[in-house]
Amino acid sequence: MIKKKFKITDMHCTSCAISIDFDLEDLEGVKSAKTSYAASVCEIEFDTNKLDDQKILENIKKSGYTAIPLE
Amino acid sequence: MDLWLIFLTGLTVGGLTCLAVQGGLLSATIAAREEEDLEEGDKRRYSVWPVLAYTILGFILGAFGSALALSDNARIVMQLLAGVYMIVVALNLLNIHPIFRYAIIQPPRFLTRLVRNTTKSKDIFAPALLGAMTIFIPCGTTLAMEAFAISSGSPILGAAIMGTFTLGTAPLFFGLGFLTSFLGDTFKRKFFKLAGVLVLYLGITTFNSSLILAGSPITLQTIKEAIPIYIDLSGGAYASDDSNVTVVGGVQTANITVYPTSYTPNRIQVKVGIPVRLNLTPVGGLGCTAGFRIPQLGINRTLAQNQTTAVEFTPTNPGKITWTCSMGMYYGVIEVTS
Repeated sequence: MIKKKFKITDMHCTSCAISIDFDLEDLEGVKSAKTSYAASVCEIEFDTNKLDDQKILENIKKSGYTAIPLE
Repeated sequence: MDLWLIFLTGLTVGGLTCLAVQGGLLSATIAAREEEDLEEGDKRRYSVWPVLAYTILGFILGAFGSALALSDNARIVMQLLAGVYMIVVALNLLNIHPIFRYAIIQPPRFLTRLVRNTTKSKDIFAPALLGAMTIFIPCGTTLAMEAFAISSGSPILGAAIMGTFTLGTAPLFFGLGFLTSFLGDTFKRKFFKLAGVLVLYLGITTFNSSLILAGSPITLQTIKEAIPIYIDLSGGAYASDDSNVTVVGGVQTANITVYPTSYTPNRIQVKVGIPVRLNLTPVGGLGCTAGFRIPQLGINRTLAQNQTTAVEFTPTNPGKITWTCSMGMYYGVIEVTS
């Protein structure tokens, strides 16, 4: 389990943040996803054996948003 | 009350901002129910529920507002804050600066989780319940509308505001939702801008109403009068002719007809130092115009339908005296000349 932050560039309201969280939490291996609309940051706790950055980026893209890994 | 503007705001934002997530939730719920092989009709039930739920919410917010507005000063502060909040939300919609994002309250996790669990429910009432629960995950524009409903200070007006707004969101939500996904991002961005401009307009007028109500010497109207360019911000309220003030027994008397959404005439001219009597007669149903105020003189009357109420005072200085309805939406000007 690791925690990682991603910058989300194109949210337009808090509903987007909720949407991203819901879609991520449906993903196998994601323990929790917390997206803040105000800070435009998504914090994800996930299992590195099951997921990698690429898969998470793809999932966010599928929800309709662009994510950039932070750090 | 600019209900059509509120409708238009709902229309432009609906299915795009606020309801983006709710639309997704709805389709998930319907999908869950389709597995159970239940027939059509869910969508219709869903479309009725949010409108009903938001109308009730508006009623509660309006009642909350009227409880807050116990005194004129409280009402002025409430309208001022609501106006400022709406302006900030609009600036966020217009994407002026990321700082305005912080004005949008993100609902707490447990609420979104609750909504989420409803989505997965196969229960027959799930779509209806979900419709009602979307109240708990409002977007910025909805929050602005809620602020507006509170500032109306009336349960009925609050219900009308929220109901109209939600009704406005319905067509895009159901009919055009799929269309916008074809039209793409540029189209969406334009819609956001339009919604932003509408919310900005509502915010500025709410803010301005509080200034009028406070008897502020600086309002949009006085600014307008001070600059030579003619911009009609009154929505035609200044269209009526100047009154013919008659002098009856040494009293300057003006007859003013009070319509639900205007005062006619709304500009009268009087001389300084001579008593003035305004005969106010409401006709055609009561609106907020029935709450008659002259903030500068501390006059505050509630007018009765089809009865003439006389308001008397003696102007002591030349200048302008504004009268207004209880919410600062409709007004007129007494020009005092020497």
